[in-house]
Amino acid sequence: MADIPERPPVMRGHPGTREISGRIASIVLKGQMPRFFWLAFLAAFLLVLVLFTTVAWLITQGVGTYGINIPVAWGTMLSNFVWWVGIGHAGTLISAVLLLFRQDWRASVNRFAEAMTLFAVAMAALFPILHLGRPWFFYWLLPLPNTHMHWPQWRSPLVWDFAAIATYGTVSLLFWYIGLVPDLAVLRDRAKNRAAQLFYGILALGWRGSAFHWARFDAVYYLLAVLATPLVVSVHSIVSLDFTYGMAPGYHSTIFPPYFVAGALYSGFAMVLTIAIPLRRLFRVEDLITKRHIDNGAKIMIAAGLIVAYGYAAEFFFAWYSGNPAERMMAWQRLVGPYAPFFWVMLACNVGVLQLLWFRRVRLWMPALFVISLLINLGMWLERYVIVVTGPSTGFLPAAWGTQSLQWVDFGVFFGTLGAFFALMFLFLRILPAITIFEVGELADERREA
Amino acid sequence: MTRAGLILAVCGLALAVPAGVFGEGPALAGGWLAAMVFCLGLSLGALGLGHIHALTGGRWGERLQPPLRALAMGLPVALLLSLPLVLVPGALFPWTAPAETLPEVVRAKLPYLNLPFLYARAALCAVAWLILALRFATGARGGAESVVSLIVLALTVSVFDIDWLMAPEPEFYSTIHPLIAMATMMTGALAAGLIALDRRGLETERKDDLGKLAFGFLLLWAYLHYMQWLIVWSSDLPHEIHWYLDRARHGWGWLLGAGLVLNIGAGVALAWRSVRLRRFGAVAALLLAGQGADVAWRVLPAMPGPGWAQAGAAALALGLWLAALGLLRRREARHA
Repeated sequence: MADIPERPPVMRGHPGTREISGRIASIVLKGQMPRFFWLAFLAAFLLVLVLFTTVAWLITQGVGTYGINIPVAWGTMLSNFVWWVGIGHAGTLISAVLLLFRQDWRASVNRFAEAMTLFAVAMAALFPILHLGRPWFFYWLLPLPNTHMHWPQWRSPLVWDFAAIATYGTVSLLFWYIGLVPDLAVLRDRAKNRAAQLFYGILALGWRGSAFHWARFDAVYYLLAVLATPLVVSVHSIVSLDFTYGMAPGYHSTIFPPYFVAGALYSGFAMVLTIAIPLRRLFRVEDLITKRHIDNGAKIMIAAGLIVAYGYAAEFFFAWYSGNPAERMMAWQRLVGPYAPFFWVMLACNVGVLQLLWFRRVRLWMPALFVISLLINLGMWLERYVIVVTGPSTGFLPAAWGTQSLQWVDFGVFFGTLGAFFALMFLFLRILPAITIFEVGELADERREA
Repeated sequence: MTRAGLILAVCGLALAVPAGVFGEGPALAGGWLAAMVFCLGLSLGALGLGHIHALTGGRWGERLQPPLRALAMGLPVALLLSLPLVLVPGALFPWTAPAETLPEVVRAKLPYLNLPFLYARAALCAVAWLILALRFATGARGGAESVVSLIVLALTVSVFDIDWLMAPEPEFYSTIHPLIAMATMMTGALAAGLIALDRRGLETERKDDLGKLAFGFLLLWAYLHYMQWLIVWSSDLPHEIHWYLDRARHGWGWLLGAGLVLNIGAGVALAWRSVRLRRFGAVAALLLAGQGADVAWRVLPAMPGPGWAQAGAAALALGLWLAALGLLRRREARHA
């Protein structure tokens, strides 16, 4: 912390393209992961077992096992769903939106951020299915021919969710895979054993790196970025409509779509930093994922966090301004009711802790920033939980008020998906290049020419 | 600009005088409010855009700063325009009627909706905006000053929107409403800035970038509007849906249609590369007109008619604002 340059560079030193290819590819091809890596993978895998056990219990015993009942019929399955979808958005923002805005600093972080998006969306998709109660009927949400004697309610955003998440997952997967192709070819060419050559060779789709290939690649990659960009906004807007369509106090608020999108970016960037800070240290790539990336990520968190704080203020002001006693009571119950401890911790994390990021020294001090990003992740989970449960728990009829209390199934499923998410991330780090070789190489060339 | 403004003002006066004579004073107040919201919005939008650029940097804003500064300098004129409205609160705000005649839900809001508090908030916003505009006149500095300016702008514009655009219909409330106002202000200011830049000549690459940026702002504005409509339509609650029903009936549907045609037209032209490059100024003017129509559609249906009297007052206020802005520009050019 002795000296901090005014604006840290996007890349430290002047490494050549060959050097960059060699360094990044060797992480995957040599496979000499530090012991910590395997211990962390083991811990994540144990949590996956917890997930399987809890889900088996949930399916056999029913949704009542996670504490929901009338009037609070939505519990952590919904808040987990919103939280995980939100985590994914930062990856799309970094990979697609920053590409369209020609931001060169995205190059080192976009690959693992995209992987984060994919795995987060996969985790998110689990929750609405588990919440169905009879998850084996999940395909009823599909637009099947009505010979099945059922037809989904197309005016319901819960059905739109299905299409939104499926589209988001598909586009994210395509975008991620297309971006991987040139790097897979590098791994294919550098691999020493036959199995690796075959594995990466099949995935590389015959990439030769000709001018023709690059021209096609650029066109498709740009097109996918254009397709993915509106999804950053549309997916979480549709998620927010799940609430705004509901008439429960605290649910029906028109600011929810942009406020949810901002919240998604806020928690998503917190997760990007949660992963990037140990990753750059673990694989000794501090010269490629520099403090500039970390600083920019923290600045985006400030912007998104302030919009979220504006959303909190707007919710409270309009609850009062509505003149509606039920809305006013719901807002008051958030402050002093049974969920007040969650609310105040959420406020402390999302608004209080955020203020530390105004200080440049804090933004560039990795241990502090890592803790802050964890706290913001916690705060954003609490935010979704508070939104989901406080509305129905203090509805229009005080005689019908009730609460949802967290059960071991809530924790089991949530921490289980955290384990599954990180286990997938570890597998990704082991078998695919976490940093985009060709884009970082291009950046290095540009810097040398400059 | 001065001459065009004066001609518009005279046309507006030709309608406003008979309106006043035939006792349509409240309609004049409504039209005047719409023009004031539009003019003030352009200055506030310019402040917002200028500070965003000061923070993010980028070539898109370098050429844009001078026209944004000129727009921001029009802020005192727009504030002066708002003064006559202070004299006729009864024409704008139904809650100034005796409390016992108001619905219960409105009575519950009276600690906020009362004239002394409203004027105090308006004065506070005006002082904050004047300070921001004066500092912006010498150039946005970026860093902490721009951050603080943007936070102050977001809060004061929200208060302004609630007080002058939402409060005329006191039973209605929508939490996204202030964000729509912010989006309109910035889209309008950007369009006005692009018109000014086009007249001075702009290289193709900059036109392309700024055209895409304008398209982005238009999409943001459309997104916010669409979300409000979708949520209100889906819930069909009486206190919300009337906001739309009032804006679709009594001839206001035409204004809605005009706004849609203008904004969609601007959107298509901005997305079409050859059109946005060849007809840059015209496309920006289309966008500005579309945003103006949106302001009129949001403000006027809440006010007492008739429409011709509202149009007269709006033209008069807009003309005076344009003429004053032209005079300011001429004076600045003389000093330079």
